[in-house]
Amino acid sequence: MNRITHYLPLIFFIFLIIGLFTFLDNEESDLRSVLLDKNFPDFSLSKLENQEIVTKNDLVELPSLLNVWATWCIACRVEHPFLMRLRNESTINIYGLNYKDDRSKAINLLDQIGDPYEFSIFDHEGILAIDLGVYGAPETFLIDKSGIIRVRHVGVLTPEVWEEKFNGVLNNLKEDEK
Amino acid sequence: MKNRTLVCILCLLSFTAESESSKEVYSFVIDENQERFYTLLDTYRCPKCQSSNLSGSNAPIAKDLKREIHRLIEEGKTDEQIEAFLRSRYGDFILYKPALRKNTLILWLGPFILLSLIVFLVVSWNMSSKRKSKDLEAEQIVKVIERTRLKKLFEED
Repeated sequence: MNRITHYLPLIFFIFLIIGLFTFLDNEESDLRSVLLDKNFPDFSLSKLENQEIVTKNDLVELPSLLNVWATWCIACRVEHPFLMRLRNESTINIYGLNYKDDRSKAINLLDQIGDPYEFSIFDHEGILAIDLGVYGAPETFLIDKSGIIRVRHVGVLTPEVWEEKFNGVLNNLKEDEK
Repeated sequence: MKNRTLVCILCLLSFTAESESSKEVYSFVIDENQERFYTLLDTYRCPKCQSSNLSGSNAPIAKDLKREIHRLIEEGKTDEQIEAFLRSRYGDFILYKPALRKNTLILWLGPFILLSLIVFLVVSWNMSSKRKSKDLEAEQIVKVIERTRLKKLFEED
């Protein structure tokens, strides 16, 4: 009897940890995707390469990806080759969201390393980024044909992440069209 | 020794200087809104940070959100509308006080369950130890009585 009471706090602690993890871990993944299955927010910002104003209606070739990037974002360089590959294999269209960046620096960088985007939206103030719930770069969104956000990924887009999170959803979208 | 106190004072001063610099000046049409603004910044958590509220953070996203909250206040939005604005974008993450929902129930009820469990255990342990000490006392008394009886028997002999 005494033995058990000695270990009671430990047992209780283990249950507490398990309980907290199972309850709160689910929530953690929830809050990264508040915008899932919601409409892509309206916006009116200029293109990166010129001052031309673009809106949601200019994202014409859907489904497509929206990739948040910046010259100050080192992780964005890591995913850049994969984005180029997606473009070259014409897997999907990619729109860029240039986030809190310097316009000329950003244009120079794309000239040097290649431009995987149809065009980039220049969001110097982070206005569209806030509406998307972005809190860093890189982030990638998959938008379906009717302009609804289907996948959100925070962090580097690797081939593994693509297989795991994006490819299946994209194939489903394509099948629904048929 | 004098040097050391000087260093200490300088360290303290540098901290206050830092925290002052992170407070940018936002002016409001209505003065009372200034206070509201800073209360809101203290209430919400910076989405980029592990544990810092918006007013304590210098992250770019925190600056943007300060600007947005300032704009919303100037547009005459209520606190509830501002919270809805933030939650629809950043979710519960920005709340230090979690909403009462099924999966957060453990956070709200956990402490009370824990407390009542501890009270229950302490009381039951106390009762059993009291009972034990009472038993011991009784045993002691019996022993004394027996001893005196024995002594008497011996003496009578």
